[in-house]
Amino acid sequence: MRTLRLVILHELKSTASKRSFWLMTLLFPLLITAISLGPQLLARRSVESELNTAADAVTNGSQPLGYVDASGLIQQLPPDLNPAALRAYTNEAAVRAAVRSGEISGYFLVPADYLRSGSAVLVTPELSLMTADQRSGQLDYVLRYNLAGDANLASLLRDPTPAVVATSLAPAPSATETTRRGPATSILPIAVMFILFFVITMSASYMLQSVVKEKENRTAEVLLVSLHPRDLMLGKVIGLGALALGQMAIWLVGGMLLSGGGLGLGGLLRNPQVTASLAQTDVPAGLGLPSGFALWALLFFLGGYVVYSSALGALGALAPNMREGSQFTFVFLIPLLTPVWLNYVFTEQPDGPLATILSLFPLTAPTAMVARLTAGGVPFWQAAISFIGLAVTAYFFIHLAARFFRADTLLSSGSLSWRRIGSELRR
Amino acid sequence: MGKLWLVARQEYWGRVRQRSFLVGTLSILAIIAVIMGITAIIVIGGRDDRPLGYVDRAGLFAAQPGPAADGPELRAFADEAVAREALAAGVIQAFYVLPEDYLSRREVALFYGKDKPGEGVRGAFDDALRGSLAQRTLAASALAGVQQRLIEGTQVTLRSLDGRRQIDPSSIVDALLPFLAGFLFIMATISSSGYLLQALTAEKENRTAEVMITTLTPLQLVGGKSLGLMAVSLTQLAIWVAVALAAIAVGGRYFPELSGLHVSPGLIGVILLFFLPAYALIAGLMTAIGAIMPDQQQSQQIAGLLNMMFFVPYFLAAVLFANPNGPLAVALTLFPTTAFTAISVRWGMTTIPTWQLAASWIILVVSAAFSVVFAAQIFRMGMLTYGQRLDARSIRAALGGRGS
Repeated sequence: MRTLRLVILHELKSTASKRSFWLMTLLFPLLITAISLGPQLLARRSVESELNTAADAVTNGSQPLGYVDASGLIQQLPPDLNPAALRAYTNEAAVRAAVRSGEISGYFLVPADYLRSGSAVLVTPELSLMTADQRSGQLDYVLRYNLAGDANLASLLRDPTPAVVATSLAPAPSATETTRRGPATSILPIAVMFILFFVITMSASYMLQSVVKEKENRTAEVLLVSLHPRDLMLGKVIGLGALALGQMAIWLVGGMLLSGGGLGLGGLLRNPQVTASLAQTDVPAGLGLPSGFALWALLFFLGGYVVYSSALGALGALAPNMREGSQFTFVFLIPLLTPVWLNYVFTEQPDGPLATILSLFPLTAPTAMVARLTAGGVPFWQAAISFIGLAVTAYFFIHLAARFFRADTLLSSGSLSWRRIGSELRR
Repeated sequence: MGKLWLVARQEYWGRVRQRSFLVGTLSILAIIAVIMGITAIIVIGGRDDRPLGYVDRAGLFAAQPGPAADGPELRAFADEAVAREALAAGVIQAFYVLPEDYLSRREVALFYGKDKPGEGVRGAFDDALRGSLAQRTLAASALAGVQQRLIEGTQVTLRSLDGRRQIDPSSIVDALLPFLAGFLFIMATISSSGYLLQALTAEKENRTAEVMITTLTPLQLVGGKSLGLMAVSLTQLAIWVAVALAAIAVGGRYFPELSGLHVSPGLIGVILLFFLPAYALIAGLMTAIGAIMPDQQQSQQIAGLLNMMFFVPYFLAAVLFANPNGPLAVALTLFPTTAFTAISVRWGMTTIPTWQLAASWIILVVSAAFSVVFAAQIFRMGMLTYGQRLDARSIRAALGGRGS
């Protein structure tokens, strides 16, 4: 028991004394926020402004375009189109000169065989796919107007159902159904899943690194003189798990301090002021997270951590060095990664068969069930069964990993292969 | 020079012959195949093939429209009550009501059950409506092909004023190809520089480095390793590309969009020009990190942050798509770590001015050269210090040439 405590303390001290650990702990949330929200906000603003400029240009003719109509179809412009927005030129040389002089911002070429081919070209100094639709739409409208001879029909031919009043005739949804489709539910399950995936893989790979490092620099040889291999493994799992929890606690507290205080996640989310201020800043934090979510998230994190850290710990016990170990890591993490890959399943059909299967299968449950819980509407029995399955698997994995943690594996420098992993499992 | 090749060959064959190389390379392909399979099953399984109803009070549909090529059957109902019954009975998935004043108000009503019909279903109805509208307009028209043109509209191709670039917005694959190619190459760069970091720190930790430098100069050691590992990543990439090409060749028969795919020589040229200096830059930085940081665990965390610097343009891809010639796009193109990725993101969307390409390449090559020289100096100093971090003073001393 004393040796176990020593191992735990050592893992805590050695990892926590690394500057890079603190760098990661403090910078990670900033990084995630910057990466996930920054580009979105930036993109939204610039996409909106681009599209608005293009729309303005079409309606008020601030960026007029020219056209050369070799088909002779364009006889007149629709009455609702600003005549300054689209100007006719007789040949391409003239229209190019007009672009160069800044008179127009680009031009269309309508070929002689337009009626048959339906193709046209938009020539601009700088290409932009984003505004291509709006600009090409203008030409399409003009051509359809000239073919149909009526502005109303031309625009209906472009879009026959510009206004659709859609009504659902299904029976009124149940209470759980209505609470869960909040505005933020589309991004939130994915965000929570990513965070959980990241924290579990990071803390589990600390485990791998810690074991392999001691193997590589031969500390293991010395340690095993006075320590049972099982204690070594348990100590590492507990010590590194405590660190990962500490890390999450720092993020949680930091997040709450930044968003104006509150008593626990639940209190924060129920605080109408905070919710309102979050809604104003466009940050989809926690809007409509079901109660008890924090507890479930913690339980699934712990279960997932134990499963994956013992798996990677076992891998570390077999791997002769970090390089070989990390080549196998990916394969070990595939189950955890699968829900992240299939993330759209959790926003499209959080109660669909695939999402349900993924959230009940113990190896995918840590990310999948938490994503579904974020979306809400998960029956209690499903969450409970999933967690029990995960807990049993965790127990089983710890025992399995303990079989790998033996003096002979820890001291051997044999190469890592599937055959070796298989034969160790059968022992 | 001979020793450099020896190190490179050793690193290359040592890795490629490992079974984990083959397993890793193929498992990514297998995973992609499985995910695509599941997605296809979900898409096909989730498709609702029940007919779509409509109540035509506007009297637009002269005859019952034929079934659309890729949509559900359209079924006419005399009035809304009958359609509602059919919807409740699950015979149809949804129904539209075209009001009498549809032509002036341009508004339609859509009634559905639990799930709103997908875009494909609504598109099929739009197509049918468009056909009826065109027929109605052109009963007396003598001009052949007008009706078809009214239904199908115009396909506009984008061309730059200097004629260097042409984009067909309907074949988005062409525009995304440079983006994908850049992504694959930068992944190869980052994974091989990651291997380099691992190899260097591992040899530093297990003291192989001490033995190696008795016969090798740091440049031979680091240079040989980076060349060998680059070749490993390129081999992996070549396998993926070969499989992708085979998949396109087969898939092209079913999806015509794929068969028209072509790679412009300009794109290949730019990748060739920028790829090597970008790799030299990151390999140099990784070597320096490996030398400065005391162990693998710490150096990998810093390396992760460094990799981010290469991926920034992908995070900002939406901004670059919206404004591929804006100040942000130009800045990312000129900044050495983001140059390669920024160019690959912008390539499909716009024409990058020649001066930007030239300036970006020169800046990248100069910074890559700096990074390699810097790394060699730091490495000479830090290679033998195990378990302790180089401080700023000894880094300065190493760069001043007093370290060795």
